[in-house]
Amino acid sequence: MNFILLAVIIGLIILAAFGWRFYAKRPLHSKAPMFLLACYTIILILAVPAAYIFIDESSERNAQAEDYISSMLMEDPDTSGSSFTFLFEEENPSEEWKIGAPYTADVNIIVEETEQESVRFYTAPSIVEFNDFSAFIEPKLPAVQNTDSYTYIQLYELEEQELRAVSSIISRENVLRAEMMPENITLSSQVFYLKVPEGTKVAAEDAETPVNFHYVEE
Amino acid sequence: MSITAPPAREIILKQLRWKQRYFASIIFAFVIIQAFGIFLSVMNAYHQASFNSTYIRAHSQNNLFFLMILWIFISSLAAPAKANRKIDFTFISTRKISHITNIIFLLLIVSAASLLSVLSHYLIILLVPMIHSPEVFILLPGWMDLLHSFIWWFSCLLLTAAAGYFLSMIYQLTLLWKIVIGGLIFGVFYFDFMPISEGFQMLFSSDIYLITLSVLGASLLFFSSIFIKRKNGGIVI
Repeated sequence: MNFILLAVIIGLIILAAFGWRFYAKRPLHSKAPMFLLACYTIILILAVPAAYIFIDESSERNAQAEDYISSMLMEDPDTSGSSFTFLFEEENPSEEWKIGAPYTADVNIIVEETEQESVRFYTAPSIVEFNDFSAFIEPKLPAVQNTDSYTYIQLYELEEQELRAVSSIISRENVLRAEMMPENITLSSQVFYLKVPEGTKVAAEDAETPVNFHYVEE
Repeated sequence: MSITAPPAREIILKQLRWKQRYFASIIFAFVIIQAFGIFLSVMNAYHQASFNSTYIRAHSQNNLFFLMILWIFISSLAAPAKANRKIDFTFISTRKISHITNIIFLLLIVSAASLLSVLSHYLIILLVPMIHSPEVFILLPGWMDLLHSFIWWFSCLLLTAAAGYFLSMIYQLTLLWKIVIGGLIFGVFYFDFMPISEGFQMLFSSDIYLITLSVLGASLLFFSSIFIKRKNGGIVI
């Protein structure tokens, strides 16, 4: 596939060079950019049917991933254009997750800045690539920390305004019980802890909504 | 007054044909910048995330967008420059006709650039699977997405072009006006007189807002540019 791309690029460069040379010999030099524009336009027009021919959009993989991506880059209706991007990181990823098992990893929720969202909505999401699709289809359980009698999930890098947005989502999704409502979120040096009772099982519910941790008491 | 003076429409058409050749560098720059923007969009992921061992990269046209904004801004700054305007007067022309021709020219290149930018989305879609890993998720845009995208591109480029044109005209005024208007612009951003972020958020919240405000804003800026006249070093609007 890369060879094809390379051949196409080299071909286009040769074509452009010939075209340039052809027009440069003529009295009106300013036609050369128009020739370049014409070539570029033809390439773009040809790319449209090519994309529909070569890209298999209806594949099962695509359909499964679409839900996740649309939720990952979704526009939140309650916060007028806010967008939430989730970044999950684990220091010690494990295939098996057990209740109460020691986990060193955190769940980071990064809320993107408002100024960038408007730009992002219309250009993304177009293409998303994965290095391991199977792990993606069955999302692993987010990690938790056990401290004293409470389990904490750290929500990093949230400003006050963003915290309110997250709180509204948590309320809206209605996946938390009364003791886990937004007022239980505390601020400590820009690290927000969502306090949940000990032994609470924290699971990724599905890929439909951004904050979709499903809490089930033991 | 001459009885053989050609109608304004003919002069404008002649000037447009001339500008299409005279401003060939703008068109050349457009193609080069588009190609470079597509290259950046294909090579660099706009959004990256990892979920456990899964690594996610999302590509978009954002790189292309910022380059195009820069291109149209510089082009519109150059269009009414003194050197270019003098050439307009080699035709039988007035200052007003020169402005109208420039504005029509800018509208034409903004429309063409918007259309080609929308189409470049397909080229990026084709190139990313070739260059990056085979595990690629791709959403092909529908007709409404294309329309939506075109409106967005057109509005942003039009507003930027109008702003560039207006600034270029302001720059040709006296030093006093440069200081006053420059201070106003700087002050608005520096002291945050206006809720700029909220304004942008509202602007991009719907297509109707975006197209309405951009067309109104661009019209206001273009008409202001037309009616700015220099008179004995002063200004008459």
